[in-house]
Amino acid sequence: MNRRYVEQYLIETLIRLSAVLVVGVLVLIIGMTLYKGGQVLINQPSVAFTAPGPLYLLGGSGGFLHAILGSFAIVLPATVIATVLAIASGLYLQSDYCSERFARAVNVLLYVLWGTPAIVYGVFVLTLLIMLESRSSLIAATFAVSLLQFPIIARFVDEALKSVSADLKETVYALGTTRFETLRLLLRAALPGVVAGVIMGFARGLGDGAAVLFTAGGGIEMPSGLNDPATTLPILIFQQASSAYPSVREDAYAAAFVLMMLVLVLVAFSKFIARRFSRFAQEDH
Amino acid sequence: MSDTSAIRTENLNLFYGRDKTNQALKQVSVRFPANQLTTIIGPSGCGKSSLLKSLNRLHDLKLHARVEGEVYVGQDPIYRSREPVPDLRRRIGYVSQKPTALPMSIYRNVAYGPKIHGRPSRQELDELVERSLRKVNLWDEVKDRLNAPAADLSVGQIQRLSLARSLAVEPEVVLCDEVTSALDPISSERVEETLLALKQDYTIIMVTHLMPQVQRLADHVVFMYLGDALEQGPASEVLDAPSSERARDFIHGHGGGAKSPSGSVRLASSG
Amino acid sequence: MAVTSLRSGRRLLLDSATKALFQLLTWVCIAIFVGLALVLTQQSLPVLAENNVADILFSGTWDPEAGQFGFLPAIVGTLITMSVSMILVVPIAVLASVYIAEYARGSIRTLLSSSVDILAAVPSVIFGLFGLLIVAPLVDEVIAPLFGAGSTGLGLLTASLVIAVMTLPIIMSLSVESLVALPDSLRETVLSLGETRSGMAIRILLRAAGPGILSAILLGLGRAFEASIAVAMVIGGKNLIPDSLFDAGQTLPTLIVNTFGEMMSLPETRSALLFAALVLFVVVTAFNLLASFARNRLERHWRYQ
Repeated sequence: MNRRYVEQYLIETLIRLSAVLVVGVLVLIIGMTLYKGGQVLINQPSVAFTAPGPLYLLGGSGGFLHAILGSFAIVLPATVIATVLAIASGLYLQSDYCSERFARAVNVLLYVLWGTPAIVYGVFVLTLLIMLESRSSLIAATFAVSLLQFPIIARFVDEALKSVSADLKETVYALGTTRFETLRLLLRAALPGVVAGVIMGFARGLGDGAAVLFTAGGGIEMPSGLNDPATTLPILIFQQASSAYPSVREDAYAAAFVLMMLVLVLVAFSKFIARRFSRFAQEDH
Repeated sequence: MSDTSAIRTENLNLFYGRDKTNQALKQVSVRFPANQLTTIIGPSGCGKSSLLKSLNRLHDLKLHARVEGEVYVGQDPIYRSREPVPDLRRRIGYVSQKPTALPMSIYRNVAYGPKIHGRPSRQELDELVERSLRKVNLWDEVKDRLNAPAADLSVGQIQRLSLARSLAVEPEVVLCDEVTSALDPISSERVEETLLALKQDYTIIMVTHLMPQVQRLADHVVFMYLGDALEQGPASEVLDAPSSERARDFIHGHGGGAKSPSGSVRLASSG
Repeated sequence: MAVTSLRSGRRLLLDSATKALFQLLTWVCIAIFVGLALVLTQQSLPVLAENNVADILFSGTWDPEAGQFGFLPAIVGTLITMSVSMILVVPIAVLASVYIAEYARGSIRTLLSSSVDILAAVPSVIFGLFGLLIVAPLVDEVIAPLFGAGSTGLGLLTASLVIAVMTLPIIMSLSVESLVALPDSLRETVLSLGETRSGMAIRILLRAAGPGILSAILLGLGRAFEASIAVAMVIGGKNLIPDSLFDAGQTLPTLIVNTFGEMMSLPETRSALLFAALVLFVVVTAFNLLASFARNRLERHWRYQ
């Protein structure tokens, strides 16, 4: 009989240890970024606000403002493009416009795309650039990032639209509205979910390095034009981390600090919106 | 009298909610006679299920649920006992309102309990499974497909399987929480027959809101109202001559559908 | 009457116009992604014309100048890092999920589930930095000496550990979800048989939530398979079949990342790498479809009621 309580003790110990390990890993990762990055930023706060000198990646003077600006210059427009496409297709796939079979087929496609590796999008856009005899640029990277974001945002839009009750839709149709008018209302009811999805997509775009690695150019210029190369924080960190110069490697932690803060704030904001407004949605019913 | 009660509660209080704001049981002291079928009745939300679940410490699972007072099984206090809770629960079986099949075969559903408590031989297990399934009149229906997933059975069969599963660990008391509420009339009837047959060997405590069922099955009745045990006693006494007005309204007015406390109050004032 | 019909005419016009717009944009999306598959396939044809598929997949020699594009080192590296990381992460992720779903209460539960959410949001390049700063020295100074092996800290084991950490939040969030979704009546039923809480979790709940957990693990595998940048930072990047876990190696995604400099200039290397991307795409898609299939199909056969 006692065997069972020994077993229980052992299993529960393992379960607790696993939970502690998970928290430990998180603390290590966050702590590492905050501590190492914080050290660099406290000693030399200017790295985040100055443009890189010509020899920045070789241990020269300057900071990584170009990567911060580049990240926004690439990811903001990409998010806008991906959001427009995701909302348009999300509304179209509601049963009102297209057949159920078509909607199901496209949903499978979306599911596949959602899991497609970012590096595949990067390679694809680079290949297009070579076929067009063009070169890596801000606009190419924007395209690659929007490819990555589209399925993510589309999934949030789809879930948000589905969560609006079918009753609401029927009630509104019964007032004699057209499909567009109905869906506009539906979209308004689903807005918190959509906004949360857009922010999540934005955070994913900011954090991703693989889609932009080949397509953005990745130099040390400040972003200047659509057809000029640009760089983002993940690319920069990737380059810095493999540098032979210790001072450059240290700067990678400062850049990681900035990136981590941006992403965490966005994710927290997205969760906040989703939670805050889900209460309103319930009261609506 | 206490020697004939298999299980009794003493000043049992149950609080839900972070700051104990919600009191589900108020100073409940009731006794459940051995080898009889006791039904706990009362309007919805009166604490019937709460009382039942406190009898084998299922409230331990819930966050912010707090039990005060004591429950005695025979002479043993279960909340102050040093006996490990799992061993205690083995002595007090429970069949939930929702027919529940464990994610395994029919055979292993019944064999699961005996296997965790000891190391029965294959032959002992076979016999035990057959005996338990026969007790609930399920053996003939499933003997040819003991290795099929239990989830393939009908809801009514799953409910009888649940009963067989509890019996297989040889409990002293069986708790039944509205066990027929998810079933069609024919399955309900079969479960009722099973319960009637079982009460020779077991103490059965059953929550129900169906007065006809109470009249068919009960030897002993406990009437709950807003967390209070207003009435208890042999079925004939409580059903025929309830002493409180609330119980009288509930028992006689039940056909009118007075299922909520507010409904009963309205009935009381109009009568 | 005339005013009304004019008005409803405009409304209907707007309705058809927006329908056309939505339809157009949806088809643009579909076209882009069909184009992706076509471009990858068409661009990998040159290397497939020159070489046998079996040669590419099973040859160990990667020598672009000699026209030899053996994926074997990268495939072996991928298989090794995937299996090692899964062996490490699955038990921990599943047990920690049990803790969150069945044991943790109140603020500890909030703390743990937000930890998982935060971990899921950490950009992959930061996992790479974590690998360089913490895991690589750990492997170099503690684990390798333990096995009496030489190590630079960068290699398959370090990569596997980083992948394990990256897949942890995916596996956990879905596993917790499927455990929490189990009905309380199942818990009450099992406990009433006299089962202990841990026994219930291990013997019944994990089984009942099995389809969801299996699909979580498959999704984690998909993520492990596609991890590129973070792994490229810590794997060492050598196109040789490794002798031990402490050796430097390559996976399919890191092959692409590490050789991207050559891609622009040599058309045939480019073609080979696009074939690698195609393989990656196909395998990850297979995993994801399998994951959703597992959840839908198994749930019917392996349900708890």
